[in-house]
Amino acid sequence: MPLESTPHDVPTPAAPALEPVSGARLARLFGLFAASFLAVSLTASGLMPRPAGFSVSEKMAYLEEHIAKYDAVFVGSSMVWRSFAPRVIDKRLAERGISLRSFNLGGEGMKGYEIDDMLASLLEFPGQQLRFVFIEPRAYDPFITKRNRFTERSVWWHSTEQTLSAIDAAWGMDGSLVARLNMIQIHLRLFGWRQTAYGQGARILKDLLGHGPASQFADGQMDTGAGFQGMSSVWQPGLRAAGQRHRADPNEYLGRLRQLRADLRKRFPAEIWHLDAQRRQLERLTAAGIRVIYVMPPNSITLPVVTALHEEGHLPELLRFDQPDAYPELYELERRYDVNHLTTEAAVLFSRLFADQIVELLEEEG
Amino acid sequence: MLFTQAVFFVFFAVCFGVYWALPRNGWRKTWLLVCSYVFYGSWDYRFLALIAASTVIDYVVGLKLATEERPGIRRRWLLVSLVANLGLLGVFKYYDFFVESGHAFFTSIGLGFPLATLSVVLPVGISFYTLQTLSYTIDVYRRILAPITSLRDFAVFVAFFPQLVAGPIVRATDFLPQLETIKRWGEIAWRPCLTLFLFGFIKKACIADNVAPVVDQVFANPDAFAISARWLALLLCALQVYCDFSGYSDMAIATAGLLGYELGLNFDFPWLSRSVTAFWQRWHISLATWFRDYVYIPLGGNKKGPVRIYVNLLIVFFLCGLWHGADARFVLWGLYHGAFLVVERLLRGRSFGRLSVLGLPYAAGIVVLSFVPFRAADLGIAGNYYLGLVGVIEAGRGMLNPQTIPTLWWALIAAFSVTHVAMSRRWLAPSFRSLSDPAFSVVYGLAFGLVLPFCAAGYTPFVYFQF
Repeated sequence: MPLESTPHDVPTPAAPALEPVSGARLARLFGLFAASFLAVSLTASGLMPRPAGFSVSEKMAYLEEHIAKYDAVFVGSSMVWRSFAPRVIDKRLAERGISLRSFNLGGEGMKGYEIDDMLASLLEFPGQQLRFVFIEPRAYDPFITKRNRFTERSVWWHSTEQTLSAIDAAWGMDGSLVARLNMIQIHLRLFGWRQTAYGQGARILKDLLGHGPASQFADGQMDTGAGFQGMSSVWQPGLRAAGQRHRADPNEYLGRLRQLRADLRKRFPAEIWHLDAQRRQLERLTAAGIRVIYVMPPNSITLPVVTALHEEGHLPELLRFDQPDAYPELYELERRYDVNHLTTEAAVLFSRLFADQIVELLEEEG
Repeated sequence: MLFTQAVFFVFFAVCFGVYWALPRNGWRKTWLLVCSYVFYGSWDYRFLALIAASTVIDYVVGLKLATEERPGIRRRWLLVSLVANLGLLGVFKYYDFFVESGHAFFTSIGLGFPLATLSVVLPVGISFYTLQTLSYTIDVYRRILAPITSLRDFAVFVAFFPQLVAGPIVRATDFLPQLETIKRWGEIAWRPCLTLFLFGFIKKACIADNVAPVVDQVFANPDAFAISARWLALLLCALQVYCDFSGYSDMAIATAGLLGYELGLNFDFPWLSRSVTAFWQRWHISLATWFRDYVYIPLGGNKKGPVRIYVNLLIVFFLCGLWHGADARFVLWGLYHGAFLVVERLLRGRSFGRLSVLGLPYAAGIVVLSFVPFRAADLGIAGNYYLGLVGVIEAGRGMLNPQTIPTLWWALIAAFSVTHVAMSRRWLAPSFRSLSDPAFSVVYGLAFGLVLPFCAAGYTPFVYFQF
C-alpha cells in the first residue's frame, strides 16, 4: 500500500524497501520498541512527584531526608493525622523512662493499599531504623469511587504489588462479572498511568524546576509537630463548615455514637478482609525488624471485623480506643471538632492516654 | 473507544494480529467487519442496527440501480436511498432543531403549537457514514461506479472502523477497489503509518486535550474575562479544533494504512492558506470535496453565471454548517465562510490579488474569528464575545486560571506555528528516512514514552464526534 501517495501534514518518510517482514524480525523490532519505551517510561515514572495537595506527600518527602531521627511512625487516616501528637506521646513516654521518637504519617482518607504502598516506600528510605509502626486498620477496598478514580493519589499507589493485590481483591468482590472486570480494568489503567507517568509531564517539569505545590505545613512545623496537625489548624472551608455544623447541631454525632455502640457488639468474620494483603503488610514490616502495633483511634465509626482479625492473629497486637464506654472523656461532645475528629486539646489528651497504654504494654512484657 | 485510549491499543493489537495471520483476503474482510462492528458497538450496541439498516438499504438500492434501465424507476430507487439515509440523519440529528425553530417562529406570530421533540442521542459518526453511503448510491446512479455484489464487502466499506466515526469521508470509488486487492504485509509502509499515528496522537492527546480546559473556561463565561484572555482562548480554540480533528484523521489514516487500506488526505496545512477559498481546499478536504461533487456541481457549479455561482456557494456552505450541527450557530458559521468565498470570488483578479503577501494572516484571521459562533454556547454569547474582543463592550478583568500560565499558551501557539511550517516543508523527513528499521523502532519507543507524560490525563472526546 503506497502510503507515500498520501501527503499527510506530517513528515512522512519515504517507504522503506518493500522487503517482507518475518514474524521473528517483527518481534525483534517490537522488542526494541518496547525496551526503549520502558526505559523512558521508567525514568519518567521515577521522576514523578508525589500527589500534590496531600499531606502525606509532604511528610514522606520530609522523612526521606530525616527518617533517621525517628524510630516510630503512626500510619492511617485523618483520625491518625489529627489525633496522634508525637511530641506529647514522646514526652509522656520519656517521663515513664521510655525513649521514643515518633512521627505522625497519617493522611486524609488513607486506606489499605495506599498505606501499604507508603510503608513499602518508607522501608526503602536511607537511614531507616524504625522500631515501631502503629497502624490504624483500614479496609483494603478495591472499589475506587468515581470521584477518586483517576486522581493523582489513586495513580500514585498503583505500584506493581499494590495493583496485583487490588486486582485480586476486585476479582473477589461482590458484584456482577461486568462490574468486577470494570474495576479490574480501572486498576490496570491506573497502573499504566503510574508506570508511564501518563499526563504528569507538566508536574515533573515544574518539580524539576523547583516549582512544587504550596506546602500545608508552616516553616519548621514538620520538625516541631512531627507530622501532627490538630484540627485548630484546619483552613479548608469544607472542614471548617463541618465543624460549624457539628457545633450547631450535634445530632449527627450523637447518632454516630449510638451506631458505634451497636457496631461494637457486632462481629464480622475475618474472611471479609483482604487477608493476603494484611499478611503481606505484617510480614514486610516484621521482616524489617519492626514491631507492628495496630491501633483503633477514638473514631466515631468502627470496623466490626477488627475483633475477628485480632483474635485470629491477623492483627496480633491491637490497641482499641474506639470505645466510648471505656474512654468516655474522648467521646464528649465538646472534645469533638466535628463528627469524625477530635479537637486539638482532645488530641493531646488522647496522646497521653495512648502513651500510657504503650507503657502498660511494654511493662507487661517486662 | 477512542484512538488515544489504552483499550483501543489492545483492540487494534488483536485486530491487527489476527488480520495479518489470516491467509485469505475474504477472511480478512470478514474479520475487519467483525472488528468494525465491535468498535462501533463499543459506544452503544443499539447504533449497530442503524448502520446495518443503512448498509442493507444502500446495498439493495445499488443492485437495483445496476439492473434497472428505466430512468424514472432508477430515480425512484435513488430517492429511496436519499430518503432512508437523510431520513435517519434527519430524525436523529435535525428533527428537534427544526421542530424547535418552527415552534419558536410560529409562536412569535401567534400560531403556537405543542412542542414535541424526540431528545434522542445522536448516533456517533452518523453524519460521516451517511455521506459515505450516499456517495455510493449516487455514483452507481450516475453509472460512475459498478454496484458491489458482496454484501460483506459493502458492509466493510460502510463500517470500516478507522474512519467510521469521524472520517475522513471515504468515497466508494476510492475504497471499493481496495477491497479487491490482496494485501501483503511486505507492501505496507508501516514506518510512515506509525509516524503518522504518533503525530496524530500528539496533536490530539498532548495539544488539543491540554488546551481544551482553557478554552472551556473562557467560553463558559466570556464576559468575566479580559480582552487578552478572550483572544488567547479564541486562538487556542482554533488550535484545539484543528489538532483534535486533524489528529484524529492522521490516526485514522495510519490505522487504515497498517491494515493495507489507503484513505484520502483530509488536512493539508490549512493554516498556511492565503485565502479562505484556499483554506477550504486544505481543511476537512474529504467533506469539502464531497459537497463540491454531490451538491455544488449538481446545482450548476461554475457553469450558470456569476450570480448562480454565488448562490450555489452560499447553499453549499449553509449545508456544510448544518452538517456540523443542528444549531443556528453552525449555520451562521457556514454562511460566514460561504460569504468570504463569495467576496474572494468577486474580488478575484482585482484588489484581492494584491493581498497575496498578507493572504496568510488574512485567511488565518478570518478563520480564527469564525470559531466564535462555532464554540460559543449560543449566538448571544457569540455576539458578546466578538464585541468583547474589540473592546466595544466592557470585557471583564478575569485572567485565566492561575494554574494556567498565559505565557506558556502563547509559546505553544508560536511553537505550533513554527512546527506547522517545518512540517509543510518536510524539514524533519530526511532524518526519519535515514534511520534503519531497528533504529526507527528504538526512536519510536523513546518518542512514545516521552509523549505519554504530556497527554492530558482525563477523558476528552473528539470534537468532531458530535457532528
